[in-house]
Amino acid sequence: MIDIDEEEPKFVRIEIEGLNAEKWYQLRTKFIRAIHKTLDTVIDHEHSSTLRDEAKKFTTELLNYGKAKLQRAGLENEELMAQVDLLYSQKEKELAEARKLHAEAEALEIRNNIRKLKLGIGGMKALMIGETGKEEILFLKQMDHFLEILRDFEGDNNVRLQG
Amino acid sequence: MSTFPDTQSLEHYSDKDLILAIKQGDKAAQDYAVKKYGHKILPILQTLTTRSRSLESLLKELFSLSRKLITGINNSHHLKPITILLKAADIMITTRKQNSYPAPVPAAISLYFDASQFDSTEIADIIHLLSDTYRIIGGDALVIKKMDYLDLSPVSRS
Repeated sequence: MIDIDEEEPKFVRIEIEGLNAEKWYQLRTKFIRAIHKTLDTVIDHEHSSTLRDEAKKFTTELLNYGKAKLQRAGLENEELMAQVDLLYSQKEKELAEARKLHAEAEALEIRNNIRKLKLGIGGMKALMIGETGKEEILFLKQMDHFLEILRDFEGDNNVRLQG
Repeated sequence: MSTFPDTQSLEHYSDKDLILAIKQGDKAAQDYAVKKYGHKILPILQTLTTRSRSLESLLKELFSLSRKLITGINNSHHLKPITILLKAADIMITTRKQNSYPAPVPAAISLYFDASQFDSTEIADIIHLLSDTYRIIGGDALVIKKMDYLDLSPVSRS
């Protein structure tokens, strides 16, 4: 876990896209639908209304606020981003090698990966926001913590508006 | 015995048939034309005859070239320069088409992680699993385009 002051909430933003631009253009919408489907299966239905309605209400605004004052990455942050990059590259490389060796087991592997994806983010909350074509996904572990951030943000904005 | 029509029958000729008969060397037809249209018609008739011969000559040359082209097609190595020219033309057309209608750039997808709750392994895992999902639907792989931090602390506190 990153050692970050709880009083100063920070979000890591990672932009992903397909390796091949043409394929990415063709498959992006389908990919979003696939993520939607997967996220729908892992969302906590008991609290889904809270997650969707309350969070969506302010998340876009909050993220826009954060984007407006993008922080220059400190040494600690740079380390995290370098680690993410390295770990992701390693995983992709391992998978490519495994596929070469066990091409016939690919279908099974894909099914396992779907299970892993469901289990992997099962303990988390994921929220799809943004307009069509500009989708963004928010990953959270503790919804309460995020709602606190949102409430603080909302309250702070109200104060500023009243002031 | 002449195969050409007599003067009497020439009277029934249309101008088109008369010109055709003159082009074929019908002296009676030429005389009839001079009689009908006057001597001014002679230079016109001469031009027509010359052009007709020139056209015949050009047609012969064209047929000769066509035969050479057919021979060239049969021997593929003769076609190499033509192939190169066609490819160059194709590239030019394609490039012009691409320059005129640039493909829209598909937007990247932004993922946000609460930095106080996720470590690098968990983030890499999620991206890797999303990449797998992308592969399942027919994509190649996902790449990380950009990474940065969003400071969400209120302005009053920062």
